[in-house]
Amino acid sequence: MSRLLLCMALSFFAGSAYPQTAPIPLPCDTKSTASGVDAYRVVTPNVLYLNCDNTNLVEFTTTAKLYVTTGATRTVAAGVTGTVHLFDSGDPWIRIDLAQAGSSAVLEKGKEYQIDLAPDQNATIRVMANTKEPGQQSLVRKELPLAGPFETLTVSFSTKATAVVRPLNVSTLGSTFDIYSNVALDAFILGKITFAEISALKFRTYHAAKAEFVGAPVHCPPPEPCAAPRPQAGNAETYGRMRVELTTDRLRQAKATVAVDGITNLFADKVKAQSDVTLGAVPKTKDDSLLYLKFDHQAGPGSKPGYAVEAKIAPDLGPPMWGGFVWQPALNMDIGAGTVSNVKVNDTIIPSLGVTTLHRFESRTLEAIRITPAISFETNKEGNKKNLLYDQDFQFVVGFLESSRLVRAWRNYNVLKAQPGNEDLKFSNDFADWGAGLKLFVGSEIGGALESQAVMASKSANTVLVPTYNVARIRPRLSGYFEYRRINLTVSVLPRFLFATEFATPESTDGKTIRLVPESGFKPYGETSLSIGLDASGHVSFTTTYKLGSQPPTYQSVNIVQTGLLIKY
Amino acid sequence: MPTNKEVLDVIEKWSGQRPPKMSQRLEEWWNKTAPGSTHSGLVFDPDGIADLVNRLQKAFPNPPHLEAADFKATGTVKTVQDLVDALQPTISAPPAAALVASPMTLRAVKPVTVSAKSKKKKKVKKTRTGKPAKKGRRR
Repeated sequence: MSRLLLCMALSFFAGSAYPQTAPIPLPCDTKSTASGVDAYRVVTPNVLYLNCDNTNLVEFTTTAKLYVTTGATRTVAAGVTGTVHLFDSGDPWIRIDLAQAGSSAVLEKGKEYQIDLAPDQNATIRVMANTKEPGQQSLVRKELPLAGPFETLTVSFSTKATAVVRPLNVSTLGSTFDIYSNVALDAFILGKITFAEISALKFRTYHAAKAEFVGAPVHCPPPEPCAAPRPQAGNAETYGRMRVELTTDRLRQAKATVAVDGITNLFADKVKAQSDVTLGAVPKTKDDSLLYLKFDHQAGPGSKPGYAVEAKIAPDLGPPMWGGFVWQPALNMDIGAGTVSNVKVNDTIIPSLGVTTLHRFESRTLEAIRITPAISFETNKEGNKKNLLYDQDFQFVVGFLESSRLVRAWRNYNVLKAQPGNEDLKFSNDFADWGAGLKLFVGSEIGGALESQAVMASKSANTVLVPTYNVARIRPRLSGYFEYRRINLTVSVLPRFLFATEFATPESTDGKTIRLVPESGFKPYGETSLSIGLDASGHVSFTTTYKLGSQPPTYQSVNIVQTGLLIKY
Repeated sequence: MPTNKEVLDVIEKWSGQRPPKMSQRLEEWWNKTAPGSTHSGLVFDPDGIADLVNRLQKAFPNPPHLEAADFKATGTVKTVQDLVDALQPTISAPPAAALVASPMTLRAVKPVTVSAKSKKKKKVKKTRTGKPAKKGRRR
């Protein structure tokens, strides 16, 4: 592709009137699509569509030569002429019409073919490309002709009756499957379709299913040729596609071998549609979309060893609703057991149910705001705090405050790639060593304690009565990070302010007495964390965290260093 | 019923640039176009995904629904081509005539020319007066 662009640029500046002496590749990359399900479609015995994977084509007109292949040998299909043109401007598919003088259908069922595009190295090609106009600095996207001669492109295809079965999407995983056949499907009776799950011992378990066409079926019994119907939805890739939905149950195992029978293609040939499908993605994907688990261990001389668990699970669920909001249930926990030198953890458990949306401004300063309103319930491990709150959070994404290692690596890669001789350069995170950024949040918490509570000391019968109270807090938060290769330093500052008086119940160091303490005004909290990635992706790391300050609802004053394992997705 | 071009238009607005290939991975494209763009501070997951899902829903209100999980590491949509594939609806109630291909005009590859001499003339009944007989009952 890069060689092609270079040739395009040269041909443009040299003037398209002067053809290249060495042939250049046709702008049709069939290798990248060859392993997928959308490489080509045989639409009738005389029409073939080919996916060029190129979104910049404006004109693609040439001739084609057909060969029948048997093993390593190929024989030219005598008397067959092929004409090639682009299906639509800007579309990656080209249409090849095959004609045979004095005869009718060209392609036959169950055969392997090869087709040569531009066998005489002639073609009329125009593409959209970014180019510099004389006297201008910025790139302009405009239509350019490609001057030949062109290298002949050989593409293999088959009319064998096979198809691939794939799951449609995550929300219908295990119940809805798409079938992709490279040969257009016949207009058969959909009610005759059967869906079977094949066990390791080759036993078939049938599931009730209904089928629908995605692409236009083509009824074309041999030997008559047929006119190709217009592709459904203007997409050539819809030919040969159908959708099967299980009506009474769904497959729940992680992987399965499935077979769909009763399909025939345009040659009236029975299609073998059998594939191994992966179905284990749903729970993992939904649950780990925003997962944070930290296991810490604390120990010291003369103290009982302690542990602490920090967890945050906040997956985005379901499709967007009004305003682009999606459901976001969340659980934030910071709990532990045991103490070292009387140092305790925050002791907070906060489940919440909210919705979240991202609003982009298409600006390079304030790029976006994430809005997350939620109802949250604040409690602790002992269950003697019960605050119900409306939690409103705003995150401000400011472009110039963010320069992550990944973005810096892509910037460096793009610069290097544009230089001559680096056309085959592959991206890697190692194009940048470091990155840094600041994230800004503002939130508010409004609500109150659900009921008055009698709270007892952990090691005596000493009790205090906590009355009900209102909660009105503002919660600005500044979160910064610095990353150097696998080392990541994060600092989070949370200067919370309490407009209403709340009540905390701190214990004495021996756990025998308990007090009722009013809390109001400025209640700051901060964390600094240093983590070293244990895997290349950075999902698992060894981490040390310093925590200082107090957090609702317990307002337990912490001044603690914790060390542990962090799992973050 | 989104076409390739319509889906590419959405991706161009989302990322700021039009991907040159259908096999382009969406996450890679988001990161590649990030430097100096209006999304340099937004990560693909969850921000880029959320924005793309919103844009798709606005552009194509009735395709098979996609959600954020479809674009994550274990989802089914990785490339632009995957996205086009996943957005294709089924044919709800196809008129049979529209779906079944009609016999092709190619059948007349060898055109038949009808000679004027061989053309059979339709016999016209003549009356005694030499005028064509009128239709209807004879009186």
